[in-house]
Parts: sequence; structure tokens; C-alpha cells
Amino acid sequence: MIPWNIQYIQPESLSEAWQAFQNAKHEGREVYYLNGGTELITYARQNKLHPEVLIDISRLPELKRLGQDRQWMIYGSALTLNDVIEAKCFPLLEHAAAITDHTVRNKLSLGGNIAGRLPYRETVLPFLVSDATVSIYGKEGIRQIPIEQVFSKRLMLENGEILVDLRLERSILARPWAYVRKTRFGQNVDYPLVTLVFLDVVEKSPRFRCAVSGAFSAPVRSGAVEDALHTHLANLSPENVQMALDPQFIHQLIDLFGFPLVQDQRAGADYRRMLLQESLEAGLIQVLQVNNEEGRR
Amino acid sequence: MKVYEGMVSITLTVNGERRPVTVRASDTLLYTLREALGLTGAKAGCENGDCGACTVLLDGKPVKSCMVLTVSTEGQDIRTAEGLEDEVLKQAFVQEQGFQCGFCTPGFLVNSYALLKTHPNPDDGTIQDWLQANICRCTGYEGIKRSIHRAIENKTIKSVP
Repeated sequence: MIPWNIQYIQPESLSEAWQAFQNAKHEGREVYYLNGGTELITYARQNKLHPEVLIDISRLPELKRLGQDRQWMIYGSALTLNDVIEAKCFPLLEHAAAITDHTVRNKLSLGGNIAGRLPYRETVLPFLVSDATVSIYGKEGIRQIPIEQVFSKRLMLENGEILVDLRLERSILARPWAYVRKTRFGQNVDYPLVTLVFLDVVEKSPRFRCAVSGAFSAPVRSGAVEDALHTHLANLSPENVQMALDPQFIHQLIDLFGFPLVQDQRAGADYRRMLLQESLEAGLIQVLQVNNEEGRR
Repeated sequence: MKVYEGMVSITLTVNGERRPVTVRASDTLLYTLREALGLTGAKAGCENGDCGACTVLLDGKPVKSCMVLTVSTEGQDIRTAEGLEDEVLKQAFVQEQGFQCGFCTPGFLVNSYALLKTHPNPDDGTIQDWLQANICRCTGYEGIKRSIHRAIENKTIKSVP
């Protein structure tokens, strides 16, 4: 339990939530939005956070939205990870959301995983490689912006802004993908040492996007890695795709991410490098196979 | 807009009954169930969302009550291990010795109950996906697995009224 008193606010609209946040800030109180609460409540119990005001946004209808329009597949940020998995709309996202255990996934929200304090934020990876659009509520109302403008290692929200939803172009939902996740003991219910996703965005021609979590201090999508992959693969004939897995090239890719590999008590940097190498190889095999099949059709 | 601060009086729906209760806005559901309502089926294990000993159903879905604020559950249907009384699943746990010390058993029962309500004939992968949310430190997992299979065989899980 949280061993001090808090003020709990359950707003009925985005504007009420935003105003309540501004009021609490104005009074100098430590205020957070509460969505699933799985991280916030445990962090408070452990004295890592000291919330004085919690604004529960988990029931706001805009944040519970799950559906499609002509252009977008829309995921509200208060959907639980099990809601996302059970939607069965984008297999890559459903794999990326299958983290932690089933019971926690009934509370852990999509927005909470992406905007939370834990560095892994794995569910953001499919949105990064899909060039998703995010809806953010702030003092000017709702605005929609490309995710790359608002996510750099973490979600960069201004004071009191609310992540409302994440939107994917519907055309991306059926594109080939690869997902690789490595944990200490190979079990899903653990933090990742490496999570890697590939998305193949151009039909019949290898143009892969790639993002990684766990290996570095934050989730990363690297244009340099994608450009190097594109150049490398463009020079290979379909019969020689195995050369894409040249170990020297894979190590160059790892360096191109431009971040030091994490070294902590869970795994050394060298071990993470080896796992990332394996993951890149396994992911490339998956997406290259599907791309070749597309090419033959 | 609801605003709760300090001690607040609310009414919860627990195991089908309306239960008035006075809580702090910062109390977790686990704490309220055990300390205010005397429902000690949900156990305080890790209080970190890892062990699953505090699992209860919230609108039919298993959640870890150590990570839920009581005030946020107003208007929702809360069901604890005590509310699963007379369920045949419990018999299956007895018949197959699906417990050792028993500390984790209420959490397993609640989660298994929700599993079988959602998937009456789950495959092994589904059983593992759901039940790896609960930890048995006696490591009596084989008995628990047999209990689930026994309950599936019996196909006599009753609906909660």
C-alpha cells in the first residue's frame, strides 16, 4: 500500500483531467496521471515516487478507443496490453505487448508501458518502425504528430499533456515483420536483455525498419542502421541473401545504433552484444524469407 | 468529477454484496479486502505484482489487488477467493493435491476460475500463459496443472450467480 495520504481524482473529460493537473502543479503538489497503475503504485510503495495527487484517466473514452477508420488503426492509450493482444489487428504489436504475465496485462496499459519509468517500453517498438502518429492532449486541445517528434528514448510530453492514442496507417498492418526477444532464462515474464523488431515496408524489395529495446538504455530506432541494411541488401542477389548475415556486417550494424550496450547485474555488455547479434540474424532471416516469397509472387 | 482525499466512505461490490467501507484514498484493494472487510483469501505476498497471491477478479478479469487502488474499483464487480465457494474447481485442487502449504492457492484458484470461464477448453500454452502469473514457492506446479486438467475434464465449472 501507499503509506501516506493522496488525493485521488477521477475526471470525466480530458479537459477536466488537464485542469486538475494544472491545479495540483500550481499548488506545488507532486501529481501524476494514473492509468493502469502497475508501475506507479509499486513505485510509491517502494518510496521511489511520492505522489500527492493521482488523476485517474483510465476510464476516459478517448483513451479506451480501439478501432479503425479509413486511414488509421487507432489504439487508445488506456487499453490494457491484453486488450491490444486480443484485438488481433497487428501481429507485430500483439507480440510486443505479450510482456509480463497475463494477470498484470489486465491492468498494465499501452500508454503506461510507453510513458512509464522502466526503460524498456517495448510496446513502443512496433509504433516506432511503423512511423505511427500519436494524439496528445494539451492546452490547445488534441494535436496529432509523428511519433518520431515526440519519442526520443522516452515520451517527451509537456507538463500535464496526456497521451490519448497511437495511430497506425492501415496499410502497414499486413506488412511482413520479425520479432525477437531474449531474456535471462528464456521466459517471457522477465525484463528483456534484447527485444528487436523488423518491419518490411516496401513490397518485393527489401527495405527494413528496425528498432531495439533492452540492449541500450532506452528503445532506439536508427536511420543509420536502416540505411546500412538497405545498401547492403541492395547489393545482394536473392540467391546470396545468406551473405546478409555476415558477422562483420552485423557487428557494424550494432555499432551504428550509436549507443553503448547496457552493462548491469543482469547481463554484461559483451553478452548483450552477442544476444543482439543473434537477434539481428534471426530477425533478418525471418523478414528476408518473407520478402523473397513476395518477390517470387 | 470525483475527488477523494484522506478517509472516504464508499460502497464496494464484493462477491455480489454491497459493502460500505471507509478507506484512505491511497489504500490498495488488497489492504481493504483484508483489513477492512476481513476477506483474507487474497494474500499479501510480494506486494509488487510478481507473485499473484493477491489475485482477485475485477469485472471478471484477474488482477493483482496489491496494484489496484480501492477507490478506483467503485462500481466494479470484485470477486475474491471466498466468492468462489462451492465451485467444483476447488474440489479438483483437493483431489489432485493442487497445493502444498496453501499460501498461493487462493490466487491460483481465482486465476484458474477466470481461465476456465474464458477458455473452457484451454490448451497447454493458454494454461501456461495465464498461470505463470502465479508463483508457488513450494514448487508444486505439477499438482496444480493436474487440478486444472481435472477441472476441465469434469466440465462442471458453475457460473457465478
